[in-house]
Amino acid sequence: MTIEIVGGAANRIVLAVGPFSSPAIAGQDDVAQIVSDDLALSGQFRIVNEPSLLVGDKAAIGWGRVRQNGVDAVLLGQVIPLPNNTIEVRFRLYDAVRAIQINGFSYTLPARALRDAAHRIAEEVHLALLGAPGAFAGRVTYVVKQGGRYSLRVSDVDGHNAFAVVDSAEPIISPAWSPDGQQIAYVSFEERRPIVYVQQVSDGRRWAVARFRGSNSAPTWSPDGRSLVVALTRDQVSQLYRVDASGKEGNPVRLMQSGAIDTEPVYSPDGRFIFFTSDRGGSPQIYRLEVATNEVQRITFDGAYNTSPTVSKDGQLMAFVHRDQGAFRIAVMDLASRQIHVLTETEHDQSPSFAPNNRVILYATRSRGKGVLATVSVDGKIKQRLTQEGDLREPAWSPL
Amino acid sequence: MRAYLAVLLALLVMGCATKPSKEAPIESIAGVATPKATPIKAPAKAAAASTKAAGGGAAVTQPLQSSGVQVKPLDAPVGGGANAATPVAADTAKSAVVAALARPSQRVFLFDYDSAVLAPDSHQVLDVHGAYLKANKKSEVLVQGHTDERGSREYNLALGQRRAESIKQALVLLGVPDAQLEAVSLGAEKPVSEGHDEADWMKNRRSVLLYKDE
Repeated sequence: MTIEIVGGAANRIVLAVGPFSSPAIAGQDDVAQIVSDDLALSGQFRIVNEPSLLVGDKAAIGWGRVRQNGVDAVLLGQVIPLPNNTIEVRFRLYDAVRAIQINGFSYTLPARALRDAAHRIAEEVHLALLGAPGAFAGRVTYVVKQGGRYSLRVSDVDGHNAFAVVDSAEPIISPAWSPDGQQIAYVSFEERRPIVYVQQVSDGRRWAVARFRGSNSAPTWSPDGRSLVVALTRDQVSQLYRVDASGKEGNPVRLMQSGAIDTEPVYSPDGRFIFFTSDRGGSPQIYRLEVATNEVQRITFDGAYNTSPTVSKDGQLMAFVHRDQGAFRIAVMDLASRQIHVLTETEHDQSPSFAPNNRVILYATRSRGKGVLATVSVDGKIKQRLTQEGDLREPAWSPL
Repeated sequence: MRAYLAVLLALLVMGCATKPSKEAPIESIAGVATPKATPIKAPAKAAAASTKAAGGGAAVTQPLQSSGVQVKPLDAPVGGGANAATPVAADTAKSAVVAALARPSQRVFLFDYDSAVLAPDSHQVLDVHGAYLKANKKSEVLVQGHTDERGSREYNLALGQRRAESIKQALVLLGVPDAQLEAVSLGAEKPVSEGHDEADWMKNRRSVLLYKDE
């Protein structure tokens, strides 16, 4: 997957990254490169080469020259191979202005987890220098349509280590990670109509959780992972029902009666609310159901089409799709003030999903005639485009 | 006694004359016991089509092999009457029955943006589908609802279901039993036209009637 960045923070931190191994170890990922790419693509850092930096976390640094080159911080490290396919990765992060160490860690792990260690280091650097978590570790899922087939894939956030979870001749939509990040619920059309499955990512075991008459779709997990809310048309018009996550037979529990289209349910992280899309008011808008009282409140009022709600992990922001004069764009609402900001300028945006750091939104859009993924920071300033072969759609960021 | 019968027959005949043709139960073809069988007025178009299909009125009495349905002549009501099925009316009834047994070739119905309302000219064709389905109780239909690509996939899935239900409801209102009808949605996932402008979107906003045995 190719990731390009568009825009960036006005004041980026200048970070010099030293080599973690020399010579480069054949067949092994370059930790320094992975960390540098992560941080550069966040839009918050400018990575510079400082040729005087040597391998090793404790190498002596010519601080004078480093500061002359405008460097704010220095990252040094080393990868040490150990027996039994294990490696140790060490790093130290320095404040170049004060010439002191900020932090440093050593990780010992299986050699195959080297990329994870690099992403962890990028997280530590981001947290130490910006005071907030980055969005480098963890996984995403998305659908690839290629050659007339559909594949649900899971990969690292940077697109590496991708593997297929489902491969089908028929469409797959609406993947949703379980709260523990171990399972994915999704909608498959393999039986020529939409059915909701839950699949264990580690071993591929799966079971249907909603296979009722009509359409079964739009799964969202309850915060305790024991049930899902789905949209069913078993009673003719799309309504919301709760089903057991185990897929055991049992009648789905209907949440509301609206006589309109209700769909796209999503739980707030504390489980108190379910946000959903409904056209009960005449056009698709986002509403919020209070689970304890069954009270429904309308949330969106700008424009005639607001759909696809998703809530940040801290419960403070809602991202959604907002149609503005025919263009479908990603918008974010501060749930306390109910103020909205439209973040994108493209026209076919869909499926927003928050990163666990609450600061970045992953979504699908079209670029140069094909489906691509993209991210946008919640202030709208930093954007990325993620492309690869095939038509990408329906992304979801793992909650962990 | 005879006066009673005459009055009864007159009443029956009056009832028959004023009944709208749509409500005549075609399934009473096979072995009509009662004289309630009403001459069925076939829509002009379908009658013309059936003449072609059946090779002219003469073929009416042959079983229609393709649909495996036996056609029996409708017996004239006992005693006759002003509006009794005369031999001429019987032939009209037979050819109307044949006409109603042909499946219309139009299977696709288009919709406006964000709408599940049937176009007024859909109803004529749906009438004939309805008549066919009522005559062939074993025939089952799958109605697929679709949308264009714009907007949320899940909302489109629900809108597609509404479009499929529109067709299904129209057939139910014509008297087709629910058991013969299934409505599903494919949302925006199966467009017929892959382009990205109104000309393509218009073709994709559709419901499709599929006979399950085809």
